[in-house]
This record gives sequence, structure tokens and C-alpha cells, in this order.
Amino acid sequence: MKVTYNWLKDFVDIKITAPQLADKLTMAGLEVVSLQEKEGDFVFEIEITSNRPDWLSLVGIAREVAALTGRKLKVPQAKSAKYTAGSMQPLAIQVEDKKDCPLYTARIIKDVKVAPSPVWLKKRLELVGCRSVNNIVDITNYVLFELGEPLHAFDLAKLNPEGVIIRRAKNSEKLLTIDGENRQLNSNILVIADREKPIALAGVMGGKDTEVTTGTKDILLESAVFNPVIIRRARQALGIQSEASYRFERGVDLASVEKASLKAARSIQELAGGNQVGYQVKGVTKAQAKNIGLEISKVKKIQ
Amino acid sequence: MDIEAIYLEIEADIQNVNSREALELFRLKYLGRKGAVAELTSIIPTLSKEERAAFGQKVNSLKNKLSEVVGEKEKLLNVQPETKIKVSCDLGMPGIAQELGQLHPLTQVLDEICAIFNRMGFSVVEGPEIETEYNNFTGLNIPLEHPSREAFDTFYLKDYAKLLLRSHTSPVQVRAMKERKPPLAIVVPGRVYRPDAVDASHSFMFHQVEGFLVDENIRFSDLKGVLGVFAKAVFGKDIKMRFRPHFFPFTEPSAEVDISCIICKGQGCSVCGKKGWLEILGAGLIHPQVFKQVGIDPKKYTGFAFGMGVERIAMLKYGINDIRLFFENDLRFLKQF
Repeated sequence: MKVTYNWLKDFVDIKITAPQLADKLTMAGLEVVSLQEKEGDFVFEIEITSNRPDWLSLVGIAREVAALTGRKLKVPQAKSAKYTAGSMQPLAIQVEDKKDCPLYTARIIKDVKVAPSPVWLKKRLELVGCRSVNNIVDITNYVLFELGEPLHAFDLAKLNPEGVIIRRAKNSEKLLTIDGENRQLNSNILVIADREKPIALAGVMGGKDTEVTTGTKDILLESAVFNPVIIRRARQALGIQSEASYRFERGVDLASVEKASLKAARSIQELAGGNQVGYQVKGVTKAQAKNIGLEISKVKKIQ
Repeated sequence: MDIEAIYLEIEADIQNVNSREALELFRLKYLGRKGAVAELTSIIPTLSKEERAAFGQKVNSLKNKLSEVVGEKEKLLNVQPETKIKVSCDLGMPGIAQELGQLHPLTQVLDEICAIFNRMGFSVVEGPEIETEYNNFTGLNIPLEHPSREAFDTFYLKDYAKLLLRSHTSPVQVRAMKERKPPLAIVVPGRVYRPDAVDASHSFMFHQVEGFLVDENIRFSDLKGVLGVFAKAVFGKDIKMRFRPHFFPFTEPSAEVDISCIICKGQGCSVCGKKGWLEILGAGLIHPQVFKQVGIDPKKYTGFAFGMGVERIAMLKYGINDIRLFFENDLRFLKQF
């Protein structure tokens, strides 16, 4: 995974140089495999081991940097998105099996202006290896990299407005994904569907027909958590790697789902305008905290 | 017919036989199906009982005589004309030496690694290259459908869902720990397979040496000590070593082990990617879950394990920059070791 020095600085005061930081990260288990100076910033490419999905975000790595350098982690609280009271409309979300999708949230924002992203946004995304598409798509990707929660924006006008269903695909169904491939689906694959048809491969890739384009006015912003094993199987069966599937397979923090949705909504309103007219949550929002016992005497015994 | 006359005739005829063709004609005349002997034999039944025995004996000795004469003549005709060869031999000239084979560089390095651990009390154990899914993965705390399996792409055997070509030598840990009781100090050399595209640093088949030690009170510091002795023995006394935290499903805590770059002595060069360090192996304390799988009590015993790529060690030791050289068997390469 790639992070930049300046982006990390949004979350922690770093008083050491980029090469010093690279060394500290490497010796903490976040092996920096390359460090490059680019456009006035430094790009760290870090190898993240499969046991640490909490490191798959800027904030996650900043948390580690804060601990390593004895500084405080600053994560600004996302302000709630602007909306006019009374204009919120209900949206039906139906989750067929909670085990496949423990939490699904959908936010509806109307009258956005899709346009190219501002230079700072494009630059940050490009430095971490992500192609800029338009302001809406770029914001969802930006939040993915920053908080580690994959988001997806649908063009609301292109799907049946009655609501979305998170269900297994039928064996006869097909979906044209945003990479232009026509995918043959089966019942092992989880999809987001409207009343009629699948509109996205859950946690893997969106559909071409409902993607946000320059003509898009209203969007449905998805933030969710999917079963890692289902995502892994779908990714293997279809042979698609994506930033989203990479994170869902390893495990996404339940608590980041609403944060990410809010942060993206706020950024969309700042960069593309629009009014929030609906927000719906389906599933569990709080993860059960696990206690991990550690005996100091045992640690000493193996030192 | 006068047998005596035939004898005389034979004497005369054989003198004139000078070729194999003539000898054949001679043989037919006397010993052929319509030859003299056959004719004499045919009259035996017409004789009286008294005459038969004596006449028969005569015919027999005539037949023997003929066989003898033909045989002798045949020998004479078969002798090749003597050719005269001038034999010259320089006894002072050195002989043509048979070129001696030698051990492959990988075998040499493998032997060296095993010898170093032998001296520290480790014994060598080997295991099969076709392994069970359980020994290669599940027994080593690598669950099915878990992202930790990503690091181990594997060749599965066609028609045998649970069999595969081992992707590391660690399954021998499972085998050895099930069969034997601690204390254990074992090194496992062997071939492993991964479906990697072949390039300068990857091969679908390569060699690993796995090592592990299990006893009461084994600590991480024991691992550091043992690997320190190993690194200095292979790469020289001045080498520095560092342990970087890492993740392996079968050890906790886990580390990757680097040595100071042998080319630039830690200054940073192209071989170490300007880092000054070279990764040589992975190691850690054996995960309690692995002990449980093989029936060793993790409350009583602790242990460490490590694994290294033999090609990697050999490439660093000899400054070889392409793994393919090991398997092309070009004599110009092999003769350098």
C-alpha cells in the first residue's frame, strides 16, 4: 500500500525526515519497500502483512506513526452532512442474509455537479497509485485510502428507485462491470441489486450501467461491510482484484462505515454541491469488543 | 558301389577345391540329399542281416571322414589374408584424463547450511514433496479461505483435491513433531514448488532449509543466538544482523531476518536497494496453535522455527544475479564452484 508523507501529516505531527520515518516503520513491521520523492512529497510503498487490516489506511498508518514517535493522533470529527429538515425520504434496503452483509448504509444526495476533481485531490490520489475519474468517484476513493472503508457511488437515476437488495446472484444473471467486462454470475457471488437486476458486485466492483458519469445528478452512496470469505470467493471466481476487495477480504472496521459515509457526503457537498435527502442504515453498527488476555510472566518466559 | 574307390575319388576331388563355392559343390556331391553317402545308405535295407552291420559301419566312417575333410577345408578357406600393421606407440605421452564431476553449487550451499546446524546439534530430517493439504496449511495454522494463504500459491494435484506439491518445507515440522517427542532440534532441506512465473528472482521450484527447536524454556533469544552463529558462519564474522517484526501464521512473534549488505557493508548499493540490509530468512516462536495441532502441550514447551531459501543464500554468497542460472546447468557456470 502507498501513503505519502504530507497526507500522513494531516493526522500526526511528524518531526522526523521521510527516510527516518521509513526506517522506523520498517522496524515496526510495516516494511517500506520503496521510498520515492515525487512532486514535493514522499511516497512510501509499504508491505502490509495479512494479519493487520487496520494498517490498510492513512489513518491506520498514522496511528502507528503516532505511537512510534510519541505524538498524538489527530482525526478530525466529520461534521454531519447538510440537509434540509423534512426533505429526507425513506429508502428501502433489504439484506437477504446478515452473515453475507452485517451492515449496509445508503445515503442519497441530489443535484450534485459532476466535474473534474481539484488539483490537490487528483495529485494525492495519483501519488498513491489511483487514477482520477471525476469529483464524486475521486472522493469515494479518497475516503477509502484515508479511512480504509471502501465506498461506492451509484447514479440514482439509472436504478429502480424502490430500493436496493443485497442478495446472492442467480445462476443466469450477468453484470457488466465498470472495467468493461461482462461477468457471468452464480449463487456464490454476492451482489447489490435493485428490484430488477444486479447493479454491483458487492465489495468487489461496481456495474457499468449505474456508474457516476458527467451526466449524473443524483447519487446513492454506499458504505457497508461484507463477509470476507464471500468477497474472497467472488474475487477468485471472477479474477478481479480491487482496492475494495483487498480490504473487505482482510476485514473492515464496522465503526468506520458511518464515519466514511459522513466524511464522503461532506466532501461531496463541498466539492460538488448537492442536498442530502436520505440516509438509511441496515444491520449492526457496533462491533463487539474482544478481550485479549496477556500474561506478563509468559512474555518474560519467551524473551 | 565300391567304398574304397570313393575314398580315392574324395582324395582327388578335395585337392581341386579352392573356393567356398567349390566346397559347397563338393559337399553336395558326397553329403547332399542325392550324394554318395545318401545313395550308400539307401541300399542298406536291401542287404542281408549279416552284411548290414559291417556295411553300415563302413558308410558311417565314410560319412565321418567326409565331415572331417569338409571341416578342415572350411577352416583353410576362412582364414583372412594376413595384413601387416605398423604399430607405433609413444609410451611417454600423457593419457587422456577423464573429467571429474562435482557437486552442484546449490548442493554445496545446502550441505554447508546443514553442516553448520549439525555442529549446533540439529539433525537432518527430510519429507515428501507431495504433501497433504493439512500438513502444508491447516496444521500450520493457515486456515482455508484466509488471506494468509495468499502468500502461498500452490500447485494442487489433478484428481486429488487434498494433495499438493508442498509450497514450503514447514509441513515436515508437522510430521516430525507428531512422530517424535521434545526435545527436538531438526533441520529440513528440500525442494518446494510455487506457481510463480520464472524470472531473474523467481522459479516454480526452489530449495528451502527449515529448522526448528522445541524444548522447555526455549526463548526468542535462543533463536537470535542460533541464527547469529549461522549468519556469521556463512557470510563472515563481520556481518551484522537485525530482526524485523513480520507475520507468519505458524509463528508468534514472527520476524524477518536481515544481514548487513555483504556488497556495500551497509552503506547502500544496488544489490540491497540502497537499504544497507539484505533479507535472508523468516523466523519466529512456534505458534501455540501449531503445538496443539500436533499434540505438544504449549504450556510446557516452547520452540522456535526458521526457514530460508537456499537459492537466495547462494546468490548472496556468490554474487549471482539470476536464479535461472542454477537450473540451466551450463557447464561454464557450474565449473566456477
